[in-house]
Amino acid sequence: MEVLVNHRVTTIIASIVAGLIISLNLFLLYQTFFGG
Amino acid sequence: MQSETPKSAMQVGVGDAGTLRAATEVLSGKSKKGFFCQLLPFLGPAFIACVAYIDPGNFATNIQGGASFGYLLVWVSVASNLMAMLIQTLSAKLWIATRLNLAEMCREHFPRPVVLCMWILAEVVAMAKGSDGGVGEPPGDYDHR
Repeated sequence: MEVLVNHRVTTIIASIVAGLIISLNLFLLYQTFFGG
Repeated sequence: MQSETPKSAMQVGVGDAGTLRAATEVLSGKSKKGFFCQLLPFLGPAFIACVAYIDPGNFATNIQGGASFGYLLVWVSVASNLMAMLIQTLSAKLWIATRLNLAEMCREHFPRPVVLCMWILAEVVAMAKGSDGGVGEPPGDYDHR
């Protein structure tokens, strides 16, 4: 099933997206618990 | 996302044997058809996933956002949908290739305490998300005052 292997660019973009979502969530948690 | 998905998707109804054969051909890289023809066997499940994913809660949230902020936040909707499509694609490919969904894959690969933390987190997220989506109401757009 090598058609399913991600392109290198896909992996990079997905990592960026995951990082963005995780950091935004952390920001939201920070904002919730430490005012803001 | 479906936990009750049959272990072997190739064993479902006889009626779609042709569809399944076409899908298997595409997945094993043997299909000689054009790009759009290769997508056809997956259109049925794709529509189901669409309806489940872009649900009334999404519409309500977006309409509420538009009513309050005009077109100011359209880019958020576009960007988040594009990101969601990417994540969903990767998630689907994970299951097709390994027959394990994302949660099962995490259980296989992470130490037990991490898995338990992720489980609790997922339950909290499901409850928080359910409180706006499940009731069929948009989350209060003045929640953050």
